[in-house]
Amino acid sequence: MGISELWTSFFLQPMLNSLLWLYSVLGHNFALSITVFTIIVRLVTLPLTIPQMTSSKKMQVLQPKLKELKKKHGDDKEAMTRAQMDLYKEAGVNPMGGCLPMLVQFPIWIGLYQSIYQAMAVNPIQVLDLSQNIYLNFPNLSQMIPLNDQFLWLNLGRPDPYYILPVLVAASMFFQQKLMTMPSADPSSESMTKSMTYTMPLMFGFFSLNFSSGLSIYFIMSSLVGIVIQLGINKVMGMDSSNPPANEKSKSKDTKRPVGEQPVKVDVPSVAVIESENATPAQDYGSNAPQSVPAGSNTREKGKRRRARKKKR
Amino acid sequence: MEVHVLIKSLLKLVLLSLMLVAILSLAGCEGQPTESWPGLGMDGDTLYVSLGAKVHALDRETGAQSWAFPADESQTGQMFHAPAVQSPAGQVFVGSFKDRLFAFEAPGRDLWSFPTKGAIVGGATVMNDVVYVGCNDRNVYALSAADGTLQWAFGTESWNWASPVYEDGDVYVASMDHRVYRLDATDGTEKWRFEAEGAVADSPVLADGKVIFGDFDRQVHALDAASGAEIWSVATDQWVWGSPAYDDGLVFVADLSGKVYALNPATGDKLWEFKAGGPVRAGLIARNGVVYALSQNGVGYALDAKQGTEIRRFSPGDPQLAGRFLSDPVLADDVLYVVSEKGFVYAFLTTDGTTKWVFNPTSD
Repeated sequence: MGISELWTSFFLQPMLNSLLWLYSVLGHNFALSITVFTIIVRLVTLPLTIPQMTSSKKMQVLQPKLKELKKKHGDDKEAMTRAQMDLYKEAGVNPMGGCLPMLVQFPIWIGLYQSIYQAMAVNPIQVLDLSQNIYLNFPNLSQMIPLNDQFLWLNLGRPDPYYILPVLVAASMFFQQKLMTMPSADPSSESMTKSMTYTMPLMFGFFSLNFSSGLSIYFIMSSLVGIVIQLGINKVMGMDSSNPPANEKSKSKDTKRPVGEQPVKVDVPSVAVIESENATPAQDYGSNAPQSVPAGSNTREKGKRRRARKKKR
Repeated sequence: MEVHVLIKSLLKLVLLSLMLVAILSLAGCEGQPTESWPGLGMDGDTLYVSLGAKVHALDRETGAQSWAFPADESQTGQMFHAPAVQSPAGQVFVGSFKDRLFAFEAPGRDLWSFPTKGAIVGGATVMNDVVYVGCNDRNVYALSAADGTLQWAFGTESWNWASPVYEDGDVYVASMDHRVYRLDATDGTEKWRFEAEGAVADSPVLADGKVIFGDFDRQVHALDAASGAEIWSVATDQWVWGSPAYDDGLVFVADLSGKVYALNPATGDKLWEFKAGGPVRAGLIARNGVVYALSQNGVGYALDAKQGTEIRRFSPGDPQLAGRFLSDPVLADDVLYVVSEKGFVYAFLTTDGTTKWVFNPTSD
């Protein structure tokens, strides 16, 4: 059995047939079936989504500290890695913690997307493909074909003629992106994040001009569920993307400060997840300000920093 | 921001976008089809192949292309069925996914076109200067062959992919709404309807006063043509898509599991079954004691109508190159004409299975 057959047997077919079953019990309303199905799949994958989102949030919170470490250790990659690992350990963050759940979810998203796409077969070739993936022993599933493609003003197999869905796709995706991202201390990730926040929703909105309406509904629902989950996580972690941690606010102020003005000294963010006995003490984010030395640093590192400061001066 | 950081970010963004575009394109997420299967029809010495958005007229003897229409393919859109031809005028009628039925005449002169509100998947039927065609906008239309004016429209509850069948002043329409209708050909008045459990995607066959068809619920039904009452139904292994065939007191039907069945038209009893090498989507042909079936694995079979034994196979040299056999074949003068999914047309001699000629669509 090849990868393609394995994929079809273990992902596509179970999801596709579940979707068709939902369609049969939800009054033959395919838009409603897509909605319910998307919500169910997102809820089932919640145990994977939460660690991923939490880990991502924690990593974002640590960004200012990582930048500090980078400044402190300069090109000493070994020391930087050691300090970084210590920081992760103190904060209780697994740097790869967000990757695994995301990797596990990825095939589920693709399976969900493909099953909706297959179920919405509108031309003979698509219906022929669909025929090979329906469980014949499952009562009445074949009788559902073709699915009712009418919903409100929409033909679910065709793009929205009034462009309402593409706008909703872009808007919901933009709102989700805004919630998911927080200002980063790293300028490269900051610019990347900003580009993603605007480009991705615009891109999907643009694609949705040609997508069948059923798929647009899926994108909207997926974003809405994502928003709800993200709001929940932000609430639990005591974070708000519109109200970033104090050090990041000061950082952005600091970068706008005219040359020569004295930096404002602020405390390290008091986020519960990174508080511990060995947490890094209060730091100054101004480039000219004296830096406190974390416990455990060796004299070689102190010398390096002194030399760097002299050089700067 | 430093230039290299900006470039790095842009590169990442471009890569991500490309990945997304690739995933979505691979999944073929657009509402309109990007491909179709060809249709094959015949009138006199000409074969008509609707391939993609173009109709090719081929010489039946040699396979040489006489003409193709239209020059600008963006006009027509993807086609799924063979064109219908009205003899002797030589008018050609074909519907497409561009929500329109086109009428033209050799060598590719526009006559008229009729706009619909949905794609036309099935073939048209022409009889007595009237064109009958089903549409995805849930209508069956009767149009004047001369100028395309609407005679009548009959509403169904789903797509109509089957070509209407004309017989004695009535048209029989199979619909994806699970029903088969008998309509008066002159004004579209409904005479009866029969509701099956599954969608009916291709035309019924009329035999011995019965209307016989298969559906997506894995059933073959025989109805009384006069009243629409069901006489018998018989189960198959998979969906039945292609039209059944009738010859010499036997009905033949195939399903998507690849099985070909011979049935007694009076009772529905199975006389024999034959398993082809792949699903059979295309309609069957039965003539002179031989049943011709095309399977999706790119092999055509000639079966003994009485026994169900294989007489011979028809196969293109390179099935990979040709693609699947999905379209209805045409049989004339001991030659079986087959068009493959990728548009290669094969003229197989039924006497020995050899290939008389091949039309390669990429070399026209």
